[in-house]
Amino acid sequence: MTTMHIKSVGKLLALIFIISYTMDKLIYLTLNHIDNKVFTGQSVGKLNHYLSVKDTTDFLVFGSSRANHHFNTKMISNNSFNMGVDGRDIAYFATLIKLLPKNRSQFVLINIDPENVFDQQYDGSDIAPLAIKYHSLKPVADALERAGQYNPLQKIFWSIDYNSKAVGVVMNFLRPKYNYKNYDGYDPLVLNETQKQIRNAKLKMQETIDCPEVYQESKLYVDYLQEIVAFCKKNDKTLLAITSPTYNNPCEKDNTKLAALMEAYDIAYWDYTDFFDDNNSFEWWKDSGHLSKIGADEFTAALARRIKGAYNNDEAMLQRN
Amino acid sequence: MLFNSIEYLLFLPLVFIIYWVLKNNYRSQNVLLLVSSYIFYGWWDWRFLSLIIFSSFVDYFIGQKIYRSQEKTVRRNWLRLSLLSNLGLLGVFKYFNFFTDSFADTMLLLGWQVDTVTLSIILPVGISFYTFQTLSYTIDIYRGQFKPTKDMVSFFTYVSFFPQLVAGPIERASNLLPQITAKRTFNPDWFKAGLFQIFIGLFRKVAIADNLGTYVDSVYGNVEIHNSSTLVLATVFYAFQIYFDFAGYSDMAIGSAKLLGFKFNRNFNLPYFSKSITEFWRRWHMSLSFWLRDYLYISLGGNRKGIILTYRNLMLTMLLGGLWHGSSWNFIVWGGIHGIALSLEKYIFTFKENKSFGWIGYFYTFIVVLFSWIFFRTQDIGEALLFCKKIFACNFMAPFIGDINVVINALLMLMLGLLFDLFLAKKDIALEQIGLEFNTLQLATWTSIIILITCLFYSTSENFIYFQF
Repeated sequence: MTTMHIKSVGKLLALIFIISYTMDKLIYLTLNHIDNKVFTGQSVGKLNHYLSVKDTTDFLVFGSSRANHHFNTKMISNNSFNMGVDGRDIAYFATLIKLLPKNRSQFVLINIDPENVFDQQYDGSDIAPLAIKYHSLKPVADALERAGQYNPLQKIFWSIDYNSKAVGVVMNFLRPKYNYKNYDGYDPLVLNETQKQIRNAKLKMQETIDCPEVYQESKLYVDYLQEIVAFCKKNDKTLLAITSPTYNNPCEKDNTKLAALMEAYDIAYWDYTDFFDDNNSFEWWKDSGHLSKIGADEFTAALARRIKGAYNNDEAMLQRN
Repeated sequence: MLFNSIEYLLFLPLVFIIYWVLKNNYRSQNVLLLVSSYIFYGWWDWRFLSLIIFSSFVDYFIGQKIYRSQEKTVRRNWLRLSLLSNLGLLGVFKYFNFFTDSFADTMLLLGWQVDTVTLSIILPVGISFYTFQTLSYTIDIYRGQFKPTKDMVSFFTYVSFFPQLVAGPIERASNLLPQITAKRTFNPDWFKAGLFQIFIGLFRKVAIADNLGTYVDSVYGNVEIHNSSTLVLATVFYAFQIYFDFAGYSDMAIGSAKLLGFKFNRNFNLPYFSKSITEFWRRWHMSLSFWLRDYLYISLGGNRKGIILTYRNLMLTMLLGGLWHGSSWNFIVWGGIHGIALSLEKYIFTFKENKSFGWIGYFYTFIVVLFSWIFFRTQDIGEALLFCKKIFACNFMAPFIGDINVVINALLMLMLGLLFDLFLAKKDIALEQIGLEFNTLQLATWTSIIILITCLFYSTSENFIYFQF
């Protein structure tokens, strides 16, 4: 390798770096500009919607698809938002909760499921979809880095923030899927006849699960839980944890263990796993883990009554428009 | 260490710099390559380095013995020992459980209950590849086609050279070893072509194959609930997933080797542009298909012993080629389908002067290959049969889409990949050469575009598909 070779290699590599770095920033800024105007779609739009209403909303629900489909938040408060998103867990919503305003009284409801709390494999990777805000929200960047759920190359190539989301962002920008101003985050599951038949067939099949003898909570999960508790206590948030209904509950020991854990961490916890046990009609369900719209409305109505009964002092907040 | 990892992004430039600093002494360069190759492999599991070292040592030693021996019987015995040790290792680590289970199942069919021993074995990554490399070395020496090297470091480097260690291309000693035992000079054209090929390979792997894989996994994981159109779509996606995955890997391997001054043979040449299965095997995983041709098909007698034995040899080669991929009946059926198609074509082409099916050959070839991929991708024969049954039920309703963004990303990337392949076919230019078509600014711009598309569309996958073989 001669000096001339070194120069030509250096020139090529330097050019690649300069061109890709410059183009990357142009792409990022363009996508970011578009992204800020997107408020529809579950992945990006709903997150932007949440960020736009979080400072003025009184009642907020967080969790996975079970939260998204189970809590008809309008039945509890007129000024509410359901931030449940499919596939997300505590790492994701703990980060979002910590973005709430510091000096506003708000009601925070988190849906948590025992199998997630006691999942030793839980690694916090559900936070990864927040990578889209890596360069626009510092707390999110910190949370992603702490969880190790970011690409180190993101520091150089910002467009990685939009990895696998660019097309979705552009499509929702060009053709919004719905009028977000009328959307409160709750997505009811309404079944057609075919879906009902599939549902009935699936629910008739009895699932057998080997329940573990011992349940050990995930350290990472508990860490996030404690962070939520600390944030809520410090910033005037009323925190309530709920396990929403499931069609069957083959392992009951984890519910008992979770209740004990919540008590130990001083978290208000209501377990609705067996809510429909006395009248477990197929009509309430979409599948064994998700309520249909009819089931969700029935469940939320009961929950709303209990919340209003238990949180008299927050009545004004729950009714505030 | 994976080619598409941050570790490799740091590893390769580091090796590159030290390697060319040592430019005046190729022996030192070889020591560096050997050490870095062992680090590359040991990154996955250092315990299995002992297998590579053992295999290298055995064939280094046997190669010398075969070369020095004058007597044919002695030479043959040394070759047998090489085959026994190499195939023995492969047999224990890859096929032991398959054969014992299959034996027990057969006995059960005959009414005998047999208790078999099942070993809890991890399949060492790359064992099928480096075993074939070392075998080609001793066989070539036995055939008198190659002289063994006395330089142990060079030979060990040949066996473990990191760009081709875990998933090929299967480089024969006759191509690679002379390059290792000679002084290399830096070639700026090779650097340009190699660098571009690495990025093309990365794009093919992480942006095309892995995006397609997300949809494929979701369908193949739940065969029973999907309709015919979904299963067909998933199989088409899989056909391109495995192509872009393995061709992408080969591109990164060939490109990495080029940066260090080594020229590997092509491993893929637009295989889905084939007009027959015969042609397909001249374009798909060429280093394996040529290896099987030269060391198995020809050793069995090739086409020199009459038409019946030619068909037998073809079938045996493809069945064993299938088994090479893994210890499962699915791979044997996959090889069998190709063997039948190759035999039929051989028969038909004896009557056809132009030895071609014309343009209809594109469709025929793709459909046969597509059908065979079902057996390649499903977990067992039962699942494969269920898959076929559901396809032939002809329930061609709207296909399952799942996450629309996943499908759109996959289709978009597939389209780009196919357009690029069409461009290569139309220009009649090899991918290995494409980097040389540009000046420095053009090359930097195109590389930057590939990098940014990859940033926007990469999907994450645990491994390259061919690592499991």
